[in-house]
Amino acid sequence: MLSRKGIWLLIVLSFMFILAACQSNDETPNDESNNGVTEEEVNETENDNTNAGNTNDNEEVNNETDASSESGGEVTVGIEAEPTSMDPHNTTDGNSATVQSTMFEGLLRFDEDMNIVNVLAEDYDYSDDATEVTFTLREGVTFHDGTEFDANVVKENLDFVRDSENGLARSSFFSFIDEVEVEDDFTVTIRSEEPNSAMASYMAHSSAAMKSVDEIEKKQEDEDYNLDREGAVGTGPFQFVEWRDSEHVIVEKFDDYWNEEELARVDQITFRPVQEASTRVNMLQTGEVDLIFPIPTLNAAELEEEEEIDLFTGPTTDVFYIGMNFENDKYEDLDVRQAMNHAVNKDGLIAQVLDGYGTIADSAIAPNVYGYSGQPIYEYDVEGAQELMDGSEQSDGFEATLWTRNSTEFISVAEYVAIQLEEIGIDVEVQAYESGTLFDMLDAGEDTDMWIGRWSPGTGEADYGLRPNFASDRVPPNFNNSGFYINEELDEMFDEALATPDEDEAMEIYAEIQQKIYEDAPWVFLHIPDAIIAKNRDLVGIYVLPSGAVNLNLAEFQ
Amino acid sequence: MDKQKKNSPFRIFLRKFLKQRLAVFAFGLVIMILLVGIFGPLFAPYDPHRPVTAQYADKGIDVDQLTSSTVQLEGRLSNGEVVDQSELPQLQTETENRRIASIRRTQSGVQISANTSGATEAVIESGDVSSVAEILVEGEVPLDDVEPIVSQIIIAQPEEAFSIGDEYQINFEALKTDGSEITTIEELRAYTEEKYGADEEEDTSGFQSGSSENEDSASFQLRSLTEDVVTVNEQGVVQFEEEGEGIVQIQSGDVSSVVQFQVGNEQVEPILTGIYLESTTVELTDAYKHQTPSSMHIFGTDHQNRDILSRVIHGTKETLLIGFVSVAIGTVIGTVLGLLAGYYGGWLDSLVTRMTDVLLAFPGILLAIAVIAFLGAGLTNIIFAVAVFTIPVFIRIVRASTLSLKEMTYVEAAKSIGVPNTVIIFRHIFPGTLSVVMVYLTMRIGVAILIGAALSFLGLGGDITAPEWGSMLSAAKDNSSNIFHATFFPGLAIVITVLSFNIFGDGLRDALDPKLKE
Repeated sequence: MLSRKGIWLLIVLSFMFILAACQSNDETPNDESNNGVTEEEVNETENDNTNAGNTNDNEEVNNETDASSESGGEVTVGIEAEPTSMDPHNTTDGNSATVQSTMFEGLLRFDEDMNIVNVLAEDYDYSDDATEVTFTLREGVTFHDGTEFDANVVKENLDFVRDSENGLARSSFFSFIDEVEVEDDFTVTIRSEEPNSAMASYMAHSSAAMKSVDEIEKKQEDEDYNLDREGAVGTGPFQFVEWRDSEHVIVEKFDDYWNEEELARVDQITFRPVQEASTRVNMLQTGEVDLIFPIPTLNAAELEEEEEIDLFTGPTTDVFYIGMNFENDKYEDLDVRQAMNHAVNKDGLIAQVLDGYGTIADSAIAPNVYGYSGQPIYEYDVEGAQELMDGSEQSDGFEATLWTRNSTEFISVAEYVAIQLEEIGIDVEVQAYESGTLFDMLDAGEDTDMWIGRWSPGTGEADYGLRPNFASDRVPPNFNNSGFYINEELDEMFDEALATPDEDEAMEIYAEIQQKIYEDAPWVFLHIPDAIIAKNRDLVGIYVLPSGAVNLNLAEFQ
Repeated sequence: MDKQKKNSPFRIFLRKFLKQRLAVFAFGLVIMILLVGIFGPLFAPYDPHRPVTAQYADKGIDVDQLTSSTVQLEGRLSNGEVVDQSELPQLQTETENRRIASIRRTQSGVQISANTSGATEAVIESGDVSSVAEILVEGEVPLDDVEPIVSQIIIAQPEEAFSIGDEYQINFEALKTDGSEITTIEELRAYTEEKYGADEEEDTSGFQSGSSENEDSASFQLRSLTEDVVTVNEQGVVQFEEEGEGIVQIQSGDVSSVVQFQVGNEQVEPILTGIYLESTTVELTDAYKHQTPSSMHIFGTDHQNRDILSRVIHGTKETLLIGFVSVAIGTVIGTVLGLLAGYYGGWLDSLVTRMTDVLLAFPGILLAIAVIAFLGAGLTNIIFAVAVFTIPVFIRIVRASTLSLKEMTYVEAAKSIGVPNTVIIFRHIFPGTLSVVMVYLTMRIGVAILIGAALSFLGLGGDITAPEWGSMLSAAKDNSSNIFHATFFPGLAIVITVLSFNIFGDGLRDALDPKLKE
């Protein structure tokens, strides 16, 4: 009898294991994808940690704060999801970058006008052929753990992240670097094989932040040392305190911050992941949090009315698009692609899905990106689109699958375009996936058909806005050209633009590239959403970048 | 004969059932829901997959210029000629509040599209001249107290040439959107100060961003753009100082026009003096989405502007399909296994009951989610998932009644005369379990519908654009604090359906219970 019971117990247990296995199967790919080519995700707020306020504004801010700097206080921020990592070199989502931006700094950063300004570098200089950039570093900067910042730190950091064996998500981002050479204690040179005039922009990106060499050594000594959880030792105005899963990440003021003018004005910042957007809004209204983003567009109008709440809306550098797989014969005909562009009513999309908080994408990059050149947009014209379809190879229409992320915003966009494409005979089935799963599927590149994409160049310039999406060598499995769009003419122009030292000439090439891309319609160009950020009226000093990213380093209470 | 009929089990059952008013009412509802499920799609007022705005034309409802409109405009030159908008240089368009309406230059003209309801203004500018159109978007925000605004200024253009020393009094008409005019400088100045003076509020939001445009919207201006040729004083008297081309501008906030003078005999090139709008008020309707319930859309429309009533009707079919098919599968398998386990006992019984215990240990929804995670999303998989967690319930109840029926003397009698086991199970025992099964079946349908809706609410139903009650709720939930009808009606449909099936099942149970007397 006993043994029989034992057998049942075994069966029950094995059943549970099967179920457990089902679950873990489901999770693993997500994790991988977070470390994989999730650059799309990154770019939402990628620049956060690179800005800390325009130097011009600093004086003004300082004058204001002298009186109140004693008061300090604690800021609580409602963010949209749990951060994935505390290591900028292993971070591809904007949410984590926002948190990290309080603790980490790079050599350079972008200011509110997307200009590159010096942070840990005092100066930088390109060589004449643009294959080298030499940084003169700031002296007297210390990390939160007390170690000194010098040229060696820069080399160690860059070499560590570039080494693909370390498995950091950002390793491909730094693939342009050929060699990092320490000239003296405070001079370092970065070399690339090809002329590259965008190197400074790349070094101003949030993932080019410097962490303490001690942390890298700990990782090298101990394979299991978890840099994502514990490696948060940077040079920023705040230092890491604790990270409790799905509860909060706390950072506190770092008193020995090198830049006394930009010393933190508050004692502590708490980031609380609140996934449900309406909950975030409620928490702000009740005063539980001081700042929230993003905000559903319908709530935004409501918040605008409230006395105690300030609402910021401004353009971002995100571009929403429908990608299509060129390995799929149905998208080969230019007429089909243009018909699809004409079939989607962008005005209606912005009004209906975004409640007016957006603008039409008239190029593959947003107006706030350096090198942008607007094109005459594909006007909404169903009859014209139908005519184009009738004259194309796909005159009978076709069936398609549209992949989208499963957040409300993405699903609404997908539903909207599906309805509109159906009017010209394209029978679209919308499938929603968790974003990690979706990126994995796109990286695999096997069953890709159409997908809703969002891209924003974290470097703020055209090369990173265009090349990852349209260059032939950026196709899956490694990069973001998930539609296998091959255009050799463009490839040459990308290289030409980067190698052109004269800025005006480079801009002209970029303008030409954008015109060619827009006319060739490898995407259905949709819209550029507005950044919507809301805060308690008493909280000031919140900087918003042209990309829509938020920086909290100079936040303070009035 | 009559008496026998009167006391037949069916008669008794019917009498007992009809006594329960609520159950009878629920039964009526169930029948109605079934009819809607089968024939409803034929009567649905709109196509549930397309926005209603695209369907108005087919229904014969006038939708002309509903959400967007093209503004006809032309430029007038100082020599009286009229140029088409396509030839205007540097035409800039902007709306004051992009949330309410956006404006854009297209190949065919200047297009204004409504975004949300309210009133705003569109500025159309070309160089020094500009005009304003009032945009009224009908919708939630009331538009009753919208003040008329000055839309364009028409300055009388003198045809003769002037010579140095001459004086000229400028005459103009500032046209308001309500048709009235302002013709004196004082009035226009007062109007401008009142309207544009209040606008200059300091931005104290505490947000710092690079893209802050500080346009100096100088309120009222009467000035010469060619200072050395002509001067103009506050009363609008123009003095000619030198030979050449003189230009005077009148600006009231966003509205601006110029007048050109030829001083001396040298012919001047005609310039653009004003932009003239054919209609100064653009009326649009915010009909993009979330139309509230009205006679046109009894349940309103959803976030993609689809008719909710039509979607609820179309969704009935799928909902019932999930309910019936999954429960049917579950019942058949569950009953067969329950009969076998109960009748034969032994290892078979142990195996079946332990499996049942395992399955019952999981909450139903969790089990269904596990099955979906394994098989992938989709309608058939939802049916299968719901069936899986229906099976154990039926195994339990059928097994229990089989165990008691097995001990009945008539079964014993059948056994003793050598009736085969299969015949005993299906002829002697199965009918005895039927009443319990029937009751549970009806109740289970309600639960199955609820689980089905829950699964599609969680986005596991495959095509998320399909008109299913669960996914309708899911799509509408984020706006539920602002929009009432989008969640209410699909939710109501679920509540009514599940409640009807449950109450009907309850009534059935009471009527079939022999212990309850009439």
